[in-house]
Amino acid sequence: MPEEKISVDLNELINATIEAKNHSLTQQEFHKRVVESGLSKDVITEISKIKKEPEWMLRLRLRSLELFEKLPTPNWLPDFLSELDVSKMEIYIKPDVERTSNWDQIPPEIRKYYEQLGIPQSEQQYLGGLVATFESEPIYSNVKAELQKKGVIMMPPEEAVQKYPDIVKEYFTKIFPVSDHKFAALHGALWSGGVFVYVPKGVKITMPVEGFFIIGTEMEGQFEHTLLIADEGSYIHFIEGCSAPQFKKFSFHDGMVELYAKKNAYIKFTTVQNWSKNIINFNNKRAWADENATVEWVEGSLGSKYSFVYPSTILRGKNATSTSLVVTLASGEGEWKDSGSKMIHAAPNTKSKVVSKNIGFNGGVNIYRGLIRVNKGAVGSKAFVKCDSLMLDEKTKAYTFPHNQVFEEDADVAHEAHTFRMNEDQLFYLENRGIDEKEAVSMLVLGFIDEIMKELPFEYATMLNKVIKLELDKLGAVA
Amino acid sequence: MSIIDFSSAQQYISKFSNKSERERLLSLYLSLPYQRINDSPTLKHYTDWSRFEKLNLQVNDFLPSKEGRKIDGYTEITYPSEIETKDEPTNSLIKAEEHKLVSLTLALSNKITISSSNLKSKKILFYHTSSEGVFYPLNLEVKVEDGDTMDFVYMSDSPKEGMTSSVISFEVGRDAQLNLTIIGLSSNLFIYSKALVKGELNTNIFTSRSFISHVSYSIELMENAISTFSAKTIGLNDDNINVRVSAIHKGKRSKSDGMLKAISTDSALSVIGGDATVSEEALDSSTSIIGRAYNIGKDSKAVVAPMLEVKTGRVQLAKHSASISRVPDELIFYLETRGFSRKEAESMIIKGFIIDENDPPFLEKIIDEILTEAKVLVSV
Repeated sequence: MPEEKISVDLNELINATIEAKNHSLTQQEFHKRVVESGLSKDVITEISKIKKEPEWMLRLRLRSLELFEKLPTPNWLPDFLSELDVSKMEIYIKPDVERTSNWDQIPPEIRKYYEQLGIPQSEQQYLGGLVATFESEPIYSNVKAELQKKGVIMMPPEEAVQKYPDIVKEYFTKIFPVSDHKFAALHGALWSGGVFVYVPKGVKITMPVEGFFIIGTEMEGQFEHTLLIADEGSYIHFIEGCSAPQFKKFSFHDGMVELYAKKNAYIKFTTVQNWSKNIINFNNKRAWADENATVEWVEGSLGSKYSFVYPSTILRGKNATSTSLVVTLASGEGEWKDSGSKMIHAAPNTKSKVVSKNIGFNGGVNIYRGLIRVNKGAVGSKAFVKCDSLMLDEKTKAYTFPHNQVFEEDADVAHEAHTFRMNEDQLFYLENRGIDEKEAVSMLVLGFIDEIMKELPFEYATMLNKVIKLELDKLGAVA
Repeated sequence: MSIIDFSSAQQYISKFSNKSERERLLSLYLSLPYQRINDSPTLKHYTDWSRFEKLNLQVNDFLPSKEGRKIDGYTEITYPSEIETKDEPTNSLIKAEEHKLVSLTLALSNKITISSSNLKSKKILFYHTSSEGVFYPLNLEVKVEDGDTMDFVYMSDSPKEGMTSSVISFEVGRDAQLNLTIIGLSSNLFIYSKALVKGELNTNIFTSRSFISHVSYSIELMENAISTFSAKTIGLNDDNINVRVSAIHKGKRSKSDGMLKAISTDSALSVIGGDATVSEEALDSSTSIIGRAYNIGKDSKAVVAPMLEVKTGRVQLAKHSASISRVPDELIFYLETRGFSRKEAESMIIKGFIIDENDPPFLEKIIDEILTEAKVLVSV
């Protein structure tokens, strides 16, 4: 079957979006620009047709497109995005597996990491296997037998739309409505690939399940959708890995993750994001937690040039709990890591905890934007937020924008943030004991994020460790 | 409906000489929005601007009917009164474009300049009032010359249907010190203030009894400048109070240290925000903001939003913290076991929370008065 392509000029889309933000575009003009970029109803219909989607999914895509044109541009979107040279997005229907499976296409920057990571040979082959297949299916088939026995469904959402339309229809874009903001709407119109997981009642998956996303060509995985439903009393730990080859131009990634932990269910969602340095990473992450349910977000945001990720949980049932642990690393001039968590307490006795650790050097910018909201009636709710930024040189910047809104008398919300530079006394102490400066710095940096490292599975913690050490090699002498 | 009866404003400006400039400011007022939001992915309109829009106040001169408050040892200036003003709709630190109500205030007022060099008394109480159904604007510049010290209290108070709106700039020279207290008790209140500090500035801000109140105060710190601030608010009934303090570090080795406190009772919304910005040039600076709020009404709401923008890695210290809770049960329990009733215990804890050790005595008195009147405090 020949390769089929549909092109959308993302540059044009982003430019139009930024212009719309500054109120210089009317809705009609915006529509014109969107059509000019190659994104139109016909294109969406074509995608849906090739994917053999049912009518309702096509309608959802078309409605999303309409919303994308109608919704205002979020005004926190930095203007510099419009100055980037973003590649055209090509929607391949039949991706050329051979071409994308080539490990050599992974930029030396990232390849070097894996080679130097010191992950045992077997582990490296394991990851290699992930890369070769590209759509996360082998991972799924690796554990397939065991999961299938328990009735777990795990497949790309395209397949789930065909095989389990009822479940998908019930939850798809319900947790994160496409009407939420402009880029959620764009995602709704263009989503492609990803993972769909359903864990039946009472099933506990003891070993972590993994989805590894590779932007292998200039399209794949850019609008991937992860939908994870943990039915009552179930348990799942899902690991999301992201990596991408280096393209000449910027790539735009606008994914979505929807988690639904029903009564007494437990979801742990770990992300190790190491996109190459010319990716604009937009990830829409939201979870629902019903009565007594727990949702845990663990996020290592290391790669990509510009990143906008805000894992959020809506605590809908009483006694629901959610934690969010985020590490971000901004290690280059102009690198922009916009992160933060939102916790909405909508039921009594709900608890949330957010810990965010930002590391910045070489002029990187780290931003925390968070929200804790306790709705009226969410009595006895407790929330705790801690965000720390470590800055290793003068050029680096760190911003903290938290909002704490309490609309219930009986609630406890606490927040603290701290921005500091490397502790010279500690550095001096270590150097005094014969540890060279680089080693001492990385010891202190790793100590800084220890709280979050502890939550990661061992292999990932090791990997993150090594990645951070490699990144720190880029750092000159500490001020 | 709008905040002012526009025709009365047009009529009012005819008494000024610089009419065309004032007309420009009025049209600016009409064109500017109340608020532009660019700080967060989630929209935040904490000030309920629609409350201003429903006022439809007259703009005219009046004679203050009641005697202003007095503070022992302070020289009192009541405004409006026979005070020397200049027919200039400008302010040294604040531009009309900065806010819709700033342009309105500048359009409708004369400028008053107070300088430490030509005053006998170094302790000033500036009492700003309004009359029933009247919007009364103030454009004030306060300067503390190099090496001088001044205690300055700005107090605004208006009857229920009146509004005070003020644009105030403070300049504190090298080795100078300004101890500033801003007290906003007007039922409809707008304060937009900026300070430029080369020496030391200690600020106390307090607002309460305001149906709608928006206070924006920003401090620019130059090299070696020091600023401490404390902002407090007590929301009663269904008040909507929004107090925002910004500390902008522009010079090296500048220090700011702030404390924000709010109490929300009944169905009031109290918002306290503190933004600290450490700019690229402000090497080795330090900033700390602590925000605390108590929700003590069944339908009360509180928002604490301290923000931090650090643009250089060479900071001494940059931190903030925030918490919102009701009166802590452990503390009440502790006092109850020592023989106090629940109400007494609460009363003591709240008083201890909102009144700081180094608050000026007159402020302490006002806070006490308000809390007692609202039946939050009982005598122990």
